Amino acid sequence: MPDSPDDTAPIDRSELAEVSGGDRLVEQQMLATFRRANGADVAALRQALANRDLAAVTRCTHRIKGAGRMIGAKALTGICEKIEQAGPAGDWDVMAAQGEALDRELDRVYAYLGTLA
Amino acid sequence: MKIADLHFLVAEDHDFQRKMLARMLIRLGAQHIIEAADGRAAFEMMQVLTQPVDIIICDLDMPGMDGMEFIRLIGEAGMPVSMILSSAHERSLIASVGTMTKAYGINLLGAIEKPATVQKLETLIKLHQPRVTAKPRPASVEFSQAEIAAALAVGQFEAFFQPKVDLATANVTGAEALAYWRHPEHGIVSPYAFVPALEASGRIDELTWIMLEKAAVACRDWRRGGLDMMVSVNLSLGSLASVGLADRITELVRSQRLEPRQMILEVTETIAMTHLAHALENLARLRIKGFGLSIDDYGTGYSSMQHLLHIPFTELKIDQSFVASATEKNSCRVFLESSLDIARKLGLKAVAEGVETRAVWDLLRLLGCDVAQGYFIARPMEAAKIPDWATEWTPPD
Repeated sequence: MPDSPDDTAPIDRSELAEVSGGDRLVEQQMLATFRRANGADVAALRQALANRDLAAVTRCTHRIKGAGRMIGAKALTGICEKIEQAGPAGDWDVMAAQGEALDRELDRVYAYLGTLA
Repeated sequence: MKIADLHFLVAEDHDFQRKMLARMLIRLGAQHIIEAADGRAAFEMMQVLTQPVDIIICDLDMPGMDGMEFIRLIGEAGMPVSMILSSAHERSLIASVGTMTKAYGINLLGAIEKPATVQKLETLIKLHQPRVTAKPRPASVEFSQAEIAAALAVGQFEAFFQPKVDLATANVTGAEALAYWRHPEHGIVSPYAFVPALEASGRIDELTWIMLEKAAVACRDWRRGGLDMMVSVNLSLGSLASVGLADRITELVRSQRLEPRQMILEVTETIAMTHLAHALENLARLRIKGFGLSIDDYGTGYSSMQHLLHIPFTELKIDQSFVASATEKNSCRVFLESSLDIARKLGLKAVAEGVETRAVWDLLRLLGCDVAQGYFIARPMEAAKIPDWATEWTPPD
């Protein structure tokens, strides 16, 4: 587990540490909740992108962004914002491409979370 | 009150975010926390709880019942809770729900732009003040048409004057005449309580002429006392529709040995547009005679820009709703800035109404607004009190 702030780390754990008070058990519970809630949102987003259901894309992206911000996943929330911005224009190419970028970034986030367990 | 004694309700549909909020509250020492995944669940819980909820942390966007509907139900039920809004939506949207929350009489502690943090929560929770009951809506006294007519007949309506000052020099430039009713039982009654009834009964012009006359007399007295001041009066719809208006006002002003340029006539956009042809004739004639013409409550009417171009205004009065919130709401500040820009480009004097704080005063100076009016400078007062007030008035340093 990196002790010092690392710019390349996919998440900034300072807020999580603040919330858990440094309690590893609490932290692990929180991260498990994150993975579970986020997993459902990401699955729903993939479905919505496949169906070209803009309302559902917007809703799922907004949820992933909200949760991502709480664990300081900056790159992840940046991708969510790009999807949200492409939504009103109906730019499905951008949304599909960012959807793939989101999957790749999530792999990084989950791998990082795995190192904390 | 200690955080440990407060009862919290977290309404948030997202499991992780809700649990994080709850953990943050625990970190701050909270011991009573209820969680709900949408507005309906939250509202139902609130009705069966034995201990009332003190502070609600409410997400706006929830499936089922969303935050706005939940807030409305709480407001309508008059529950004495404090509210913290939490959302990842844009700031202007959160601000507008904040305004809505306050309009329902709910004690709004503030809004958190997600992500929530322990510190953001703590700051807002500290603002909580226990309240016994929800703030009652101000009781308004209803006056009958007959009562108002009788008051007109016996002369119970009076003019109070609210000073206007130059923001650059701090000189007192004038005062706006406002109609108050010196009611034998209710004391001083503000225009909100009787102007709509007068408009409905078609007798608002009688009040307009009373005000024009009292304003002219007051302005004459101030000027005789050595104050270089102008006076502003609101014109009503009926007066603007009658073609003899300009001559009659000119006569009235001259009878007090005033020049037309010492009086500013204020007109709202809506009134100016209602009888457009007559209004334009009157306004053009008034302008030719030298009166100042002010567009009042700018921003609250419709297609404002168009009116500005058609009507020979000399002054633009930016509505108090934009001015009072300009230091807090970005949208109000943007509107204020663009109004000042329009005034400058059209060569109109810009007047900001509703200046209630030092912060707004400073902002207006920074943005180059010409004139300010509002409680921060002075409340409306009797004409005879203006000279002493003007001598004592000192701008903030």
